Amino acid sequence: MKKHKYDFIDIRIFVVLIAFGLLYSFLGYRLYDLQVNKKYFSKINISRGKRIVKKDLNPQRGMILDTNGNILALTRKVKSMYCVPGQVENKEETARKLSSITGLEYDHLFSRMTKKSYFSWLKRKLEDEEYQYIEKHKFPGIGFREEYQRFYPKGEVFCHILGFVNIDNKGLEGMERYMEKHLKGIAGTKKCEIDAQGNEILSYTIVENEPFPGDQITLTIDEVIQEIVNEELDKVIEKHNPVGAVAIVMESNTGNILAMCSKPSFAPKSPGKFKPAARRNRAITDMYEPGSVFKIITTAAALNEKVVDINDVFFCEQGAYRIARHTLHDSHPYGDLTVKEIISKSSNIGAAKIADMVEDDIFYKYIRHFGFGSRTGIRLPGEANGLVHSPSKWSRLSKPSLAMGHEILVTTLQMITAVNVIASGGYYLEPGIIKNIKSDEGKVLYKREKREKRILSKQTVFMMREALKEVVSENGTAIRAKLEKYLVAGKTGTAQKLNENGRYSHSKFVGSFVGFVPADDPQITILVVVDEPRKNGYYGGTVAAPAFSVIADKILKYLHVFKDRNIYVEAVKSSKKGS
Amino acid sequence: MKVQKKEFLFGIFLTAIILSIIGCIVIYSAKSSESFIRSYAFKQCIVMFLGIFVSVFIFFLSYRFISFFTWIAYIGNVMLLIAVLMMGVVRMGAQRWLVIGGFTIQPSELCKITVILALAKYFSWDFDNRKSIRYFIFSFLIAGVPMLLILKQPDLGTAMIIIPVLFSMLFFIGANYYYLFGTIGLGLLSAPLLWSRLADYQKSRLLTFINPNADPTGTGYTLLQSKVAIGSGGLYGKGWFHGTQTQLGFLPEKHTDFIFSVLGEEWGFIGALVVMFIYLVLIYYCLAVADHSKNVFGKVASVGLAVMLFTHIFINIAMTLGLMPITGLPLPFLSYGGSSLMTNFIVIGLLLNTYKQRHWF
Repeated sequence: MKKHKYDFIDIRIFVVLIAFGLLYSFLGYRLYDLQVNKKYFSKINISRGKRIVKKDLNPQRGMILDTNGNILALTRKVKSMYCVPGQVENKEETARKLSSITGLEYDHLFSRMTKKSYFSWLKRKLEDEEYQYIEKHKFPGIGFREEYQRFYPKGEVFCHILGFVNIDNKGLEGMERYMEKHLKGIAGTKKCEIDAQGNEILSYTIVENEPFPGDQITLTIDEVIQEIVNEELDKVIEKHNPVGAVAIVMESNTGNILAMCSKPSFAPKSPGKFKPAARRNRAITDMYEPGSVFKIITTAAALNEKVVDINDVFFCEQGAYRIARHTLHDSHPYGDLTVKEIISKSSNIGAAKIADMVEDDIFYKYIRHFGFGSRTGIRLPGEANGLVHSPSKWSRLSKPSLAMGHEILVTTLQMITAVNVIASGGYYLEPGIIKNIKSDEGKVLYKREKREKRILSKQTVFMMREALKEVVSENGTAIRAKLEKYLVAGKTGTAQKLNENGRYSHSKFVGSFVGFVPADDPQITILVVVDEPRKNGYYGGTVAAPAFSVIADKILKYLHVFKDRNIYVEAVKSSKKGS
Repeated sequence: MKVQKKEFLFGIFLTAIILSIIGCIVIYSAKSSESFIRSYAFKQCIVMFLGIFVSVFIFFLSYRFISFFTWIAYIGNVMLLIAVLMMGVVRMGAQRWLVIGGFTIQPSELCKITVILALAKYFSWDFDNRKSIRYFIFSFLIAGVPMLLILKQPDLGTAMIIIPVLFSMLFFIGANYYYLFGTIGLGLLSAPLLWSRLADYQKSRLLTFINPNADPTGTGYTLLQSKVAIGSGGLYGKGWFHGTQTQLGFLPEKHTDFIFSVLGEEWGFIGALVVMFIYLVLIYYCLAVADHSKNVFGKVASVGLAVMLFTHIFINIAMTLGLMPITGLPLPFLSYGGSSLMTNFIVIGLLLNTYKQRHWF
């Protein structure tokens, strides 16, 4: 070969080629190490572990029924629409059509369809018609997933008892919250693979455990009675424009709550749109001074201790009684009144004098026995204790004040439970709202049993009923609570509210009426409390007694107390089944 | 090195086309799209056909013309680089692109070629003085000016490519060894000084390279994901469109800088090795062109081009294997990117042209 002057370059080319080869084989070795020797195998496994995640499968939430088995809250599977952006053909067209069906904005849908993802929600919880239409027309790349949604068929009527759930079906208020453990059921699990963005890949999903539905709760509430109470309270609101109003209906012989209604109310479908004040179940959370209604407790205590008799006469000081540097007043001046008359005319001075006959400790013991100052234990969240001071903290004015229902805070539920002692024949009955709890398989997990404690003698009860009957008469304060066919026993209450400055207001009142019918064989006890009525009167006898009358009348017609009640209920049930 | 003429020309051309087609196939999987027409792979295909046309065109050019054109191209390219700094488009924090009549071009890509040609031109012109210091200084100036302009963009990766090319060309031409190794030593000594001049992201890339597990979800993420992707490919790979790392989006920049990771995951050790073998064949052909060429310009230019291609290939693959810090250099013919692919086909055209005129001197 001919020698050339650039030949030295050729030798160097050869050197470089060998150098390249060496460097290259180093790369090849590394590649072999990674791919065939699996040097990073452990790391790859870690990465797979991250990609497979366990997710919960939501169980069906338990139903809530009324005492007759009518559904108050249920959970239904609804369809939610999603899309797989890569599979949607003709995105503009699809987005436009779906926009016209669902009413969602075109831009929103289109942007969802063009998202760089394998899954994108279009609309959660579709209406049935929407789903059927979209399903029928079969859009490519559009799919559906089932989700549970809570429904409240009766809407606002049961809002405070039932409460509501959030978007994940977790109970936030009322029964939904208190019974969350029972209602929610047991979540199932699934294993699914996710991509780098955390999106689930449907084809890799395996169900490990099926979810187990929640328990079914039957309430003592009667749907019809609740509707009646709700309707009447709405009328009260309209007529007197109060800050709030509460009514509770209790079955006299069992303590079962038949209706519990609180105003203002909210729509359980969209609780967020209402003020927190409307979401409060005033029947158990709000405390107030009961006023004259409390004279029932004072008198019952005195009678039961046999320190006074129903026909004992007290001098009522002609309407002004000086005690502990304060002057007590009656709404009308009275002279001599019997105990019965003190109740029926609601004399503050008389009540104070009756209370004076009872020793402090004994009076306090009775107040506590009637359930004041501690929770009733009703199975609803947020119940208040109420407030009762022990005698060691009393001033000289405390006992007279307590006698007429001041210096004490009670909840509506405590008040009706206490008065129900007279209706039930002297027994303190623990109020209850849950009749039973059954598991999905039908096993009874809880059944309400009547818990009673005798605190008044039969004689006392008899005398008290006589006195309370007198209230609802020409001689009493609550003639408006009178019913045509039935004898009513009850008591009005008009308490002054405290002002911001801590003094009793002369314009803000709480008017209430508590009573039971029929007076001699009580079936239902009803308490109506109207908080701060702002027009058309404020006396308990004016604002609460008429509502009591209508509610009692309608309920008694529904329950048909004097005829055979069971036959009537059976008839109602069968007629409902028929329709 | 005895290769028949026809087989030789055909060989260079074929390896380039095979590599680009493999590139399109892998890109299609890495960046899957609804239809082929809209995909990145389709765009790459179009650039490939344009590239083939351009390389054939260069093949038919006169050698004299290329030789004459070298300086014009070099000066023009330097001016384009200045234009980039003045009115270039800023993307991802760097000013590397020029928009001319709707086309986006990256002058720094083209610059690699013009610098090599200009150096070759100077080396052949001043061949007899190759041991002098002047020879050394001029060659440094020719390479240095565009390099600084590219560093200013900043595009550290592309700028760094020029250094091994320059040194290998000086080595080939037989420049003064004292100067050569003296400069290299000086460069190493000034490394701490350079470190302080680096941007934060560049520093973190280097630190990540030293300890990739320090921040696996942050700066070390890409490196780790790339290794996991390649490692999980195994011997035979997971198959086209079945690489989980790629398809589920764990691997960033999968269609450009990390295309080799996709290849490794979906086609396995065998697929990666085949591609690496084809690259080696291409490099062998490039050096063979230098070997066959009878003139200094042709020899040095084709050696420079071969070194450039090899540096790209080596740095990119080493990066995906976690052997080198992330630099952002594309893999020739495989990575998605019009400018890069076009540059590579120009290289092929120049090599073919050099071979055609190998007897001329």
